[in-house]
Amino acid sequence: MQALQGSTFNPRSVSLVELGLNDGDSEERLDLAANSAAMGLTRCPILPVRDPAPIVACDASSVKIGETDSGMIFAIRAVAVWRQPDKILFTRWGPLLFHVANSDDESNNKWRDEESRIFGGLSVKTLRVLTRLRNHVERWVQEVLAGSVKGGVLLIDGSLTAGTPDNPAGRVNKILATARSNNSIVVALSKSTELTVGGKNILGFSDDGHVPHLIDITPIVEGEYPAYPIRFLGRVYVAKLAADGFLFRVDIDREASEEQAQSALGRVAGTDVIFHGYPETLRIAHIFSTFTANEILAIQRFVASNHHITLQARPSLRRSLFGPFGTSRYVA
Amino acid sequence: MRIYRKEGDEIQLIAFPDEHIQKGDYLLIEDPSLAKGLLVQTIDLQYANVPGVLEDILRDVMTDGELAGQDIDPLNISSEVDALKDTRLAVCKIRGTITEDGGLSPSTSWIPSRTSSRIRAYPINRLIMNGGKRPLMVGHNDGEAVHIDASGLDGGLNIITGRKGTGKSHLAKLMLLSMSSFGAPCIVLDVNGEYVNLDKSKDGRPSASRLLVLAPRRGLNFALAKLGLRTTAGVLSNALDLPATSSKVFSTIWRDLEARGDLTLPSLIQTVQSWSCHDSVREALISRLQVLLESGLFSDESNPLTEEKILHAIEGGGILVVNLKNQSHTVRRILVEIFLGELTKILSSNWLKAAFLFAEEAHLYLRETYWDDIVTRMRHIGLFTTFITNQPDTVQEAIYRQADNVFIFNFINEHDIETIGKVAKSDSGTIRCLVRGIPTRRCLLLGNVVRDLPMMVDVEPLDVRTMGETRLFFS
Repeated sequence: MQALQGSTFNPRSVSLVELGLNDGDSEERLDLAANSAAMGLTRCPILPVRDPAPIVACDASSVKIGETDSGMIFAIRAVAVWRQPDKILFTRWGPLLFHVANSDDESNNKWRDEESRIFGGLSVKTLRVLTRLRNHVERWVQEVLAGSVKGGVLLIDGSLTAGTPDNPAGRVNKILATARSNNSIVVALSKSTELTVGGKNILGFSDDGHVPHLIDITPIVEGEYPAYPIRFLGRVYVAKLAADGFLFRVDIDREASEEQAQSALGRVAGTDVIFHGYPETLRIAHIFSTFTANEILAIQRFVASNHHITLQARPSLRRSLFGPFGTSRYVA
Repeated sequence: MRIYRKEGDEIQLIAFPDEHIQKGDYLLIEDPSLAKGLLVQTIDLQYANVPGVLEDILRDVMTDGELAGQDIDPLNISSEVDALKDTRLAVCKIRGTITEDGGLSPSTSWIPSRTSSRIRAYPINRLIMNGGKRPLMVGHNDGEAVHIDASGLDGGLNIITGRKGTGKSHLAKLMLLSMSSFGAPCIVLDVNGEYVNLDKSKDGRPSASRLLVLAPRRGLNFALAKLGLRTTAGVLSNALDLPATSSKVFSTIWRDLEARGDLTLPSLIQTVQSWSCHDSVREALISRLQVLLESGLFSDESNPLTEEKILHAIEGGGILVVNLKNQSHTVRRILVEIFLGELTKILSSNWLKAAFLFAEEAHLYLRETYWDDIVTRMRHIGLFTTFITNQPDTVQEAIYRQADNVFIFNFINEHDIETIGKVAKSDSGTIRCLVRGIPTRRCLLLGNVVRDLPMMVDVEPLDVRTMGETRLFFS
């Protein structure tokens, strides 16, 4: 960031109607038409348990702040939320600012425009650096929580699937092991997933029951995916944590027994307030980590005033040519 | 500050929390490429609708209750977010153009650059005084002394209005003392007896002001012979509602007594009693003459208040206070009728170039027809009136439309604000926005005295016994 002194800066445009901004999150449509019974899956009820044991959640968000002559500026923020018997505590780290420089390789640059259109104005390289940075910060918070929470449930946003360069299996394994050594259990919740069974998204399983339940789909998922390089470090479930809630993909540390997994989900269902079937601590962590448009403007102001960077909004060719028809959710 | 947008004669500016701005402030939007600036006045302050602010506030609300925590914010971005939340939108009225030589031009047919313009506070004191020779210090604005040119009150019709206890009489007294110090003859129709000690400081020391206080049985004494038929008949008709038929009989009796050289109130009553006329006419005349007798205004006709005495009291900068305190509605009307008649005589005879009349709550003693008279005829003979009222709807609409200067203190009632919005010297939007919520002793100045640049002023304290404060039981 220090190297940017005196350069120009094209700030990200922030629309009045664009309230919540989080470049790191993408949702997908769910198909609820599939029939799970036909695949021989069994449904186990979740028995909500009121328990004073700590429930802790964490989440992290990243957002593009703007473009410089030599790259892009991003902000990352991570949040940890503790549910205690009488109150909820949070710690928020950030925003932390990063300047990701463009590749020096000219041959990469000529494809940049094409790639940018696909990945929210970010080149593949920039996107990977950003993803890695965000994952790094998020995993760091998870490590801190795994090491400090005793006998509790650690809720994280996402899954326990690892084994990619951006998400190395060794680090996730270490978090799971640390939590285990503190008698805690790691539960990962996904609002959306790309996991499919028989060509159908796992969250499209039949939802005709009115009681909290979970379906273990680990054998099916593992059967459909090769063992390498992607590794499932947790047991994969489709779970409904409240009678009136939605279905979520839930990954629970594979070293934990079936009973421990059910007990952990029972504690979450019974202790954490369930909003549409989603744990309240994780919801708060998400809300507190997400960047608002106001915060993006504030960061832009900070960058401009503290690094003496001139704000210089470049006209968007796409918007100029197509007006309101030229924007999509992929265009930053 | 930055220009946000312009709509009609309004321009909206974005002001950050560290930029000092308040309602009434003047700002200059200088366009360096055009070497001129747009003079604008802030009439309203709002929060800027920064995108996402609702979400930020909702998130803050969440942490107010059972949520507690800490922010590890190494770059202190949260303070920037707070600054954005407190960013204000200043709604400004365009007042004119400041040309390269520093002069004010009414032209508003251009707009400054939104990107390169510089916005700064602009003190308009120099523009208001405009080289005037009689600076009248009315108070302060943002720590700066505000002077108006007393000449701006000359030849004009003025209104001082505001809620009870906001400082109207205080400003009237300040203006009176300043005007008299410039040699202006001043007369006050004082309903509450609060101007009677203007020649004494708060600790009782006499001041330099020349003050004469008159009241019924205390110097305010008239003689019919001196008043003349026209003034006396005017009193009977206008103040005491004498019918026209009886007025004719009265004129005949008057001339008879005048010819005999016996024109006093007792002899007039005696003559009417023995005059050959219809009983109803006699009854009408007697009852009204009896009111005059009991008013105490004709108790010593041998030593009446003459035009010469009035002239002597006010000429060269004296203040004549007509104390109407504790007088009945009828006596007030008689007194004002006589007094305005006498002033008209003095001014019509050119014994005095002009006089300044300060009329407190004029609706309590001024007859309907006098309102028009004051606006038209009396202005032309040199009687310049300042109306002081806390009930703006008691002043006729024509007065607001023709007022040259208006001094407005706080109002909260919609009806009152609506009434004073009819002032021709400013747009109702400016009055509506600036008057609402201004503190006690702060006043909006409109009209010639401020060269039609509406200005907010904290009125200067006075070291005189004002006696205008409301009497309280619990203090």
